[in-house]
Amino acid sequence: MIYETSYTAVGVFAFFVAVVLGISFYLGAKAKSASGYYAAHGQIPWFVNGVAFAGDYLSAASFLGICGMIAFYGYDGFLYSIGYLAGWIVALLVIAEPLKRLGKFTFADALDSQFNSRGIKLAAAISTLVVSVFYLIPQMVGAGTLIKPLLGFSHQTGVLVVGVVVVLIVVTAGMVSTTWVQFIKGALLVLFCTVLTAMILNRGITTDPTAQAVAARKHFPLKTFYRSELENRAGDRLVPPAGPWEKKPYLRVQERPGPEGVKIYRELPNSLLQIAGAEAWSETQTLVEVKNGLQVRRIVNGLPHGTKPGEGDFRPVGHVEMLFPDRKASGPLGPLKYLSTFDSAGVVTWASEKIVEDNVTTTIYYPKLVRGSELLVPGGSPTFAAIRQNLYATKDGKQVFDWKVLWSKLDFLSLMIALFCGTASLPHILIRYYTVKDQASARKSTVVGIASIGFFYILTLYLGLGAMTSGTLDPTNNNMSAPLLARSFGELPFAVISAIAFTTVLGTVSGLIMAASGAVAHDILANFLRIEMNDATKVRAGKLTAVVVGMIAMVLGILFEKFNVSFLVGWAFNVAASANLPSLVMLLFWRGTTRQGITWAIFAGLFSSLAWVLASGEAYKNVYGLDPASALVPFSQPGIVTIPLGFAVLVAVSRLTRTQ
Amino acid sequence: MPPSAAAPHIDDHLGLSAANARAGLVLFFVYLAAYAGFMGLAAFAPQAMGTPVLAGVNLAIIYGMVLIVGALIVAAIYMSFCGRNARLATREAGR
Repeated sequence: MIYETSYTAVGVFAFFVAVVLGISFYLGAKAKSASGYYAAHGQIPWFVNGVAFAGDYLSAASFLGICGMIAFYGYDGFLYSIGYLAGWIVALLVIAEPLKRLGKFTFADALDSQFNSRGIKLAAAISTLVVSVFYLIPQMVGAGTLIKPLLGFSHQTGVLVVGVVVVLIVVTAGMVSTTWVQFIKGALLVLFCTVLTAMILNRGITTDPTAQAVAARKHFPLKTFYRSELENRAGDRLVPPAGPWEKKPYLRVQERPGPEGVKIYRELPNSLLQIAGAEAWSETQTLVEVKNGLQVRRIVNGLPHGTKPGEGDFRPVGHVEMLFPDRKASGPLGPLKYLSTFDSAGVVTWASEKIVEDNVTTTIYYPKLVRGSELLVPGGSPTFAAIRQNLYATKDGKQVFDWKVLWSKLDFLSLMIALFCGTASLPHILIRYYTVKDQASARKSTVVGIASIGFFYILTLYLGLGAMTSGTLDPTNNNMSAPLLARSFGELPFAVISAIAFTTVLGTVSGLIMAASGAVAHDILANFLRIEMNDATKVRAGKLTAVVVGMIAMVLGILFEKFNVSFLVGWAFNVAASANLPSLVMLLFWRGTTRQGITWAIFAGLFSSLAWVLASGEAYKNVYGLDPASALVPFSQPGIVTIPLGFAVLVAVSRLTRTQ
Repeated sequence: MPPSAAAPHIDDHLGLSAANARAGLVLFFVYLAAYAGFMGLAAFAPQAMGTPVLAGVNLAIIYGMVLIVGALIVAAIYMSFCGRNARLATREAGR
């Protein structure tokens, strides 16, 4: 869909940035010492730190990715919400207090507190850097992807704006300003999402989204036909299914000459309509791309893509088609009633298929009529579809064990384990424990963090389902679901949510750059290379590193423009959990742990999870453009193998080196 | 100099940290069991997740919300343990 620049959104965002930078410069004078720069003097009040945890943790992937996934596939997005939140239990109950007790500025400090080993410092710093960069790329790419529809600038501009603003925040007052930015962002995000959820519940569920929102005026309704009806009407204008169209559930009618003149109908996938003797067919939305040398002509719904008269654009989608008992609008609903009403409704969701034919690529966006109850159980998205399949398939009348299904189920379990173990291993989260004064404050701030993050994740379910039924979704871009949901309530909510979505990126990126800056300046330069530095040079080194890391992040953000964002976030959790969690846990709970054990466990977890990820089907498909079936490892998420591997390496190496 | 030496605090009492850690581990395993149950159901019995269990809302949603709200409840229980441990330690130190 083509979006008009919302000047209100630009204004609100500019206001946020001005406030945030103003605070940073004001605080800049207070963070001249190393302890001020790296750990905000350990003087951040626990409540502020707790909300800042939320601001640090709730990244663009959490907000836009989860809402988008729920809006398009239902429950599966909520699985991420549950996994991301459950990970905080590990942080609170296992990691928080010892980490605060043992460390000073970075997580390497805590790991190394009993050993004074250069190996541990180097290993921990490298793992911090790798995880931070892995996490930075999707944030920066997210900024670029968002800025175009939200504020109307190019991808590069988005990445550069975020990069420059964040570097300014970090360089002026380090952890002090980073904390306040995260506090403001965390508070705004939770507050406005609460307001949005209240508006969703108050609106209830309706079968006519055009009546409730201006933004849904051009909404694409579900029109169904019998096949015979379409065939009779088309007569000899019906295009015979040949080449890639053969055996596909499409009927193509040549309404005007050329590829742009073809109207496409699709057999309606539905679990509700039972029409005896005939299937239902529906209209679709199409994007036809005709390549002519280097030029590509884009035709949307039969017209050149654009918003001027005579041009065509995608129409907003997503609504409830049937509401039981037979009625048009539910009126205001309570939180549980909303879910049970949705459960029994007939919902129209959208999917797409791409068909390539010589120089013409056709992408068909088609509706599906689904029972609400099917959308409220796991397995609705392509990512997790296999968990609904049976481990045994029937082949020639015999029950055969299906290994592929088992691998897919293990892939799902592996991701859920990585989300559970990864949170407490993310360097930008761990460094927040050094900004409070003692272990009791570390504990209390984690509880505030859990409360605000948990509350937010419950809201994601309502935001996602609200977007799914708002009549304002963009069928081509699920990342835009949350802002478009806000648009269904008016332009001002849209502007505010868009600006907050963009501010979301600032909070997380500044935390990541702080973590990377600490790893390089404190762990590598001062502790590993043992470069003599006084307090002031340590701060200067940190700031210089922040600028360099910021520049690297900007370059990567531009280079990885086309990359799948959620894929990278999943990787970062896997790598963090595999590399950092075994050493953290064993150091705390096993006296036999040696410095070699820790060093080797970090490297083993880091490199095995990286290697697994690079050899997986997802990487084959998305990175190298190869057939995922030829991948070297059976599933994509390494955690279920590489986290235990980290523990095993730690125990084995520690036993071998204990006498030394 | 570690920060704990610069700012002595009741929490730095090692016996207290160990008592907190024990309470933390017990609660951790309780939560882990609930989370593992959820993962197991989702992966191997997704159809059971569709059963309505509360006010017409299905098990998948209720279980998910219980895990989210449960995290906060577990956190509150842990905080009260730690608070009680700290009070006991202060009383002990006063004797």
